[in-house]
Amino acid sequence: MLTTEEYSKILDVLEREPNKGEVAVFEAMWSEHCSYKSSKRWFHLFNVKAPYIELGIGEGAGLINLGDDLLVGLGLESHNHPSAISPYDGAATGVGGIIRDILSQGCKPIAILDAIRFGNLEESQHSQYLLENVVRGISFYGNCCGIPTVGGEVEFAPQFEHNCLVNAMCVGVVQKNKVVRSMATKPGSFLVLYGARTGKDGIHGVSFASKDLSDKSDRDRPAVQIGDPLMEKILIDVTLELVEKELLDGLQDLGGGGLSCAVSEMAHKGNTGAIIRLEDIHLREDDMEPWEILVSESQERMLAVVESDKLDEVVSILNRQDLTYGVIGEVTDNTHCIAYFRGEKIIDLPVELIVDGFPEPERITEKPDYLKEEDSIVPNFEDLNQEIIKLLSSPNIGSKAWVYQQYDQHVQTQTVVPAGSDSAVLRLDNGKHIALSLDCNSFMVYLDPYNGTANSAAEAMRNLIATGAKPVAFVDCLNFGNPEHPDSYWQFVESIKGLGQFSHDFGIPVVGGNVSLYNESYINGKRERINPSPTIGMIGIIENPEKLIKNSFQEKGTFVVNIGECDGNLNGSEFLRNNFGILQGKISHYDRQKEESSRKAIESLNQAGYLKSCHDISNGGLITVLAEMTFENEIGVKLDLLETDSFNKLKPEEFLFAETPSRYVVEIHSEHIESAIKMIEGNVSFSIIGKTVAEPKIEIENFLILEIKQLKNAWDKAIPQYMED
Amino acid sequence: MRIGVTKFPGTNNEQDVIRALNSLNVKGELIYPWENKKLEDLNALVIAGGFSYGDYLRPGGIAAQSPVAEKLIDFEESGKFIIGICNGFQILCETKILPGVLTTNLSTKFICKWINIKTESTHSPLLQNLAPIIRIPIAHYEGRYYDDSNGIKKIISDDSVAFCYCDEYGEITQESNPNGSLENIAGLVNAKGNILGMMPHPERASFSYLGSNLGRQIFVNLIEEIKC
Repeated sequence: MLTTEEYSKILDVLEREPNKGEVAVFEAMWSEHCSYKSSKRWFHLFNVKAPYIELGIGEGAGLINLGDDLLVGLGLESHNHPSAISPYDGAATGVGGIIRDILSQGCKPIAILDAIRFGNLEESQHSQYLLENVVRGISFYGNCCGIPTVGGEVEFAPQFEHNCLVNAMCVGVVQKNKVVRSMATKPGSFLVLYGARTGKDGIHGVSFASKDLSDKSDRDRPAVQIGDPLMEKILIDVTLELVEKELLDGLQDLGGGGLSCAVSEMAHKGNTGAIIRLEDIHLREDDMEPWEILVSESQERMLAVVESDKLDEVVSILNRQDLTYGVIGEVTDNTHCIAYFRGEKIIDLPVELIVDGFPEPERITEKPDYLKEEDSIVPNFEDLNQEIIKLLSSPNIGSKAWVYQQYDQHVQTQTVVPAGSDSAVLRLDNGKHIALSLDCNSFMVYLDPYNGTANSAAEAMRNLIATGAKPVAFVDCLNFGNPEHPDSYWQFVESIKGLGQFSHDFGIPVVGGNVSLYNESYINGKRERINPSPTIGMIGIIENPEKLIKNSFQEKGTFVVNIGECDGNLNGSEFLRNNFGILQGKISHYDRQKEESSRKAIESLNQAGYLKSCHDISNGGLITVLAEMTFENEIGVKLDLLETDSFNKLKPEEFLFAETPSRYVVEIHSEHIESAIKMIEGNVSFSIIGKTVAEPKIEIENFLILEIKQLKNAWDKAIPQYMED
Repeated sequence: MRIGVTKFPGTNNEQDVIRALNSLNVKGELIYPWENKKLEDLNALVIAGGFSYGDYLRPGGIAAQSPVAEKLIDFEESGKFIIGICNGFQILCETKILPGVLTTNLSTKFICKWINIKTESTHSPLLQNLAPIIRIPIAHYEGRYYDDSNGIKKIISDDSVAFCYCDEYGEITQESNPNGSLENIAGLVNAKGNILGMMPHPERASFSYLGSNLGRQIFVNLIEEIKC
């Protein structure tokens, strides 16, 4: 719904009342989802520059040059509200949308990652249902399109019970000279709409996404789009052919806001206008009103700008592939977007007003009440052993194989490291390797949006570093509550500041992303809000594939070294949250210096060839990392901590479970240990914490002996225990 | 040498198969569903995996009605080689060139993971010199092989079981059967030995950087046979 302020702005500029079609266009384009009206004002905080960036924020894909004019395109988007109402179709079309986003720049999609968040599986059958169907939706759509889903993250917390999050990231490649822009620059060019027919699904989808969910949201089901992955696959194949033959002068997918959005945005970027004829659009339903055609969000459609001398060839390719298309209009030079339906003018609006004319709403920030709480106190517990098992059984910590085994991870035969590692690694056709990670710790962000977000970005970076990659850029999906609520908006602003700081500190620019607000609801009068969740999708390059690092122990008799220092802070840890239900207190601050020195230590150790394996320390703390490193090859580890300062200073549970940032565990062969220490000594705090052993056990001094089999069993069953009979 | 690789709408493994063939210095050529005439000029055909026609109706069901599929029987009878991978295996069963059906996995979920298979049948030239245990990925929703008891008896007596799912030591166990296939059947070969259908993806196990190159030998065998 337009606000009074917005409506007056329209009257002022048009000097007349807008008609029904025009109101529908403004409702779509001035929605939070399309206009970024609450968020855009903060984007200046991001680092957006690096010499290798070919295209930054603003179009479907951010483009990065890997060095030889093969560009990698990245996009990340949410499909939260649709997935909450209709998980299967919502998630499927979320994947479809992000694929078409990067396709808009001519990229061939080569990988998908997903970040998904639900309520607690243990307590909520509804969340089990959502997980089951969201995963099925992603699997159905991504698999059928022939794009491997290679990674992502899954998080469970009661805060997501009524507002699940589904974020999809897509990565693609395109030759520099084949890049297509989402703009219409040449008056006289034709507008060609191709792909699926236009129907009544997804009408007002963006408006639905730009308000709170409620117990009545089920009525909005018609706002959820329905996907057809076969159509998407054909659309991808045909688009890539059009791109390869250099037949397109502009291209944009039809996403939120439908045709009205694609036409006006392309005209706006190209400083042109457009005339479209709605009767030339192929419809799925006969009884559609012209305004519905304009804003329908039916899936699997692309809008191309084609110069007149290339139209015949485009049309013949579309015909050959039996794809529905319509030449629906032309690019003009009068900077208006005009739509006719059988001769009747339906809308006539300045593109500037549609795209950028919204009055920026006032937004207020106020620190939330919940942050005034005291530090958490660790309750007494009897058996550390049992606590560790309990932690590994948490669906947040345990294996995510139940999820990713439903995704085709290997299609396109480029997947070198599939899902389940710190980051996924793909080998591109030019022999280069890229690493991808998608991450966020929403609990830490909840407790401290600034530090929690900067640390989440640092964790995405650590995931890449631990694989041997050099981080080069990221995309983000900022999932927050209602920006009209000052405390929710405070979370958002603090989070952006943290992310901006990180991007400058490490010279890693943001090249794209998406903002999803209004992830809160009133259920039976009670306010339910998500943990603020800025998911960060980061890409790194591995120049030399021999420097790819394994994430699990490789050999017995090697040294196990902890890089970075444990501060023992358990606030926000999965240990306190999962084992005792405590989520409060001050989290460890983001520390650029420490982050950088541990990163440099890992990079120089890897460069020297000293790393047998490496894993960053994050959710679940040191013990979780050690356990995960033992699983694959069943190589045990024996810790000797008498010389470890932090161990002597801290309680065992603090040492084992704290999620202090800037830390890694590395495995170093005995013949290299001396030179390795010499290399990093004085530059970073570290401690040799033990050695790998043949016995399949984790042994810590004399007080803790854990069987790998038992740990792995708990870890393996973390999700299946709730999802299988 | 001309090896065709089918490309139905929704096929998505065709470039992967071509990548494997290219690495053996053979140029694979795409065969679209309407290009039935082209088959005559080919030495062999690979029916690549994916979701032909979106798996609508049922996997392979619509592709089996296409002009290319109608010519497959002639192709088979002429003694030329066909390898059907994943959706390609489903198409071969749908056209009745191979017996039985591939139905929904017991888990009722899509399964993508690395598994192990071993060769059972010995008569086909496509199955020579393979590693005793092949580590190879699967990725399917409908890969559970089924036939009635007479059918299964015939398959076994014809020496038609190309591959069985097994554990890493080569033991054919229930735990190593990922989808509930009868007799752990992962692939079939016809009595003549020129038609191979398999659910696992040899093209995804053709380069060591992908985690295994033990599937490559199947393409090597195909090329060697054509040369003969």
